Amino acid sequence: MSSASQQFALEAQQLSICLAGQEVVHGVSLTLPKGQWVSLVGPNGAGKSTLLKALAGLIEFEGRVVLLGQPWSDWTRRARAQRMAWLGQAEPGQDDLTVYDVAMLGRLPHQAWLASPSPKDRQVVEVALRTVQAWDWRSRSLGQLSGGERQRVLLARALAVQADVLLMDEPLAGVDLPHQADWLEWVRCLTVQGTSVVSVLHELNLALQADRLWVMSQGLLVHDGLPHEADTHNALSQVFENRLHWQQMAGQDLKNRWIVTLR
Amino acid sequence: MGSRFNPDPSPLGRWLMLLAIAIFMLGLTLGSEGWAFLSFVEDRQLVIDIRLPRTVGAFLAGALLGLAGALAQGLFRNPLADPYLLGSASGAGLGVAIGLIFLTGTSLAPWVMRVGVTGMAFLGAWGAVLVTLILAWGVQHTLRLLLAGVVVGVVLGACASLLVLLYPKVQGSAQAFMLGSTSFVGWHGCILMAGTLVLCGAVAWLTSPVLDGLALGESTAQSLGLPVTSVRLVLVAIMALCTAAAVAQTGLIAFVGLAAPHLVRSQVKAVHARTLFLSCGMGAVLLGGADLMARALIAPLELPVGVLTSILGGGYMLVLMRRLSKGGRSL
Repeated sequence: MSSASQQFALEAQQLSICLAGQEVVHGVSLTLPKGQWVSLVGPNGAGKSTLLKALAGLIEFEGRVVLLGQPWSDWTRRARAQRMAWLGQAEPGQDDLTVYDVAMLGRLPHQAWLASPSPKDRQVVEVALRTVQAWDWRSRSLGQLSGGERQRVLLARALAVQADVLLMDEPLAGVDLPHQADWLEWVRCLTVQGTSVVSVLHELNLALQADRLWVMSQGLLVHDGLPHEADTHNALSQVFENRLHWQQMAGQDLKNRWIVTLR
Repeated sequence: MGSRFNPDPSPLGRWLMLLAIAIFMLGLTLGSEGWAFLSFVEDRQLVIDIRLPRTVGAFLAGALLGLAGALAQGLFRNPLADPYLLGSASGAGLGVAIGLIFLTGTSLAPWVMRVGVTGMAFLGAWGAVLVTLILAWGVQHTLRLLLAGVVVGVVLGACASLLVLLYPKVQGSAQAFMLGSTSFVGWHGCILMAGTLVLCGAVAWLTSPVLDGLALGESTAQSLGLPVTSVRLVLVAIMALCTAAAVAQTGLIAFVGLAAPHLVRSQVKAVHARTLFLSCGMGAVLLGGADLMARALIAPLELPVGVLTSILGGGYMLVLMRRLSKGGRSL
């Protein structure tokens, strides 16, 4: 374990991914600093979800990935699941599990096989469900929920893992504005506590709130920079066909100074 | 056994237990001559040799089918998956036909016969599921999976019919078998099914967290560190074994495996460790009850129980389809 890799939660070198015989991600290298929130943005089909899945170890890839200073192959399945959580986009959810049961599934990597949940598990799940404001209807089944409510429950499931690295693909799909604001707040809370977060976000103004931006296009990571930098804005404008209009907001701190609209 | 996660106040388990006891008592006293409450002493041999194994056999076969159905629906995340729709029952049927052809007329002990036929049924069931999965290119595409299962079921069913036609010596036993009947279940069959049920139930319970994880999608299950791929293979084998053990003793009894898990889930929202066992109980009560009706409805004649479950189960499936489409959900 080198001291250089200690400061990174996740590192990838020359990551290439083939789906159905076709290379869709071409030699991406990136580093995710500890305690930072990075937003992964880019047009449809840029390979964002694929890259996230590969980082989570869910699909085959070529290249080298180092998680918390330890190469990929050194991790056992269980240990990795305790340290890294992944929330997919439009994953199926069986309608007849209760909200509470779904959130408790996030504790599986921490529980002995078939063991009853410990008081700590129950406490973590309660906190997670309260965070997404789903605690009051914890005994409803998934089938009884609206799309946004369902997504919040899945967020709680990912949150309940208490992982050091949290990868979220479209975490706010269908989630209403107040709960999006909640999400921003708890993601910031998590990063302050040392958790590293990667989120694929389509809403650029939300993505711009992140600590860093990764811009992807056509299977390549075309830019890695800070959200208020001109370079980042240029890269974004370029991958979105120059349809973005950047506006500076008065009276904000440096980070939140920019909003983007369509033109 | 309590729920691992959410305390579940549903009394379904207790209700099933009461129903099972009632069906059991009725099953012992109901004969082809009608009700015979008081003749237990005279008819003791009859009760012990015929009615008791038959009633117990109906329970066990129903429990096996209920478990197979619950496993299929959990594994393939498909509310319509069932041992019949995936072709495994037809495969088991073909296996039984082949087994009967080879073993009828040989001087083997009855229990060796039973084990042999069950083994053939198992091979047939497993083969059929494999062919279905290959034809459907995996489990991801629901419609493809069900269509492949139907195709495999029809083709293997036709093969079994053809074999029976070519070998008239097995025609009698084969026909009872195709219709599905509990009337020939003896103690050997019961022991075999009980053993299979204990084994499969234990494996299903041990692997149930993977089914819970799969409820959130395959990738999520993997991200939770669950050994999805290996467990899925084991559970397909277990599902085929359950189907085979039931089919080899009672023939093709449709819809129990489909209806039992559905009825359970309509009452109980819980993790698989619990719903799997409730599905077993529900299957047992369904088939035990159907067996009782098959004997009582046109007594002293008797309906093949498979015909009865097909009619009742078909009706239930129509209601289910209607309810699902009304709820605006696609299958």
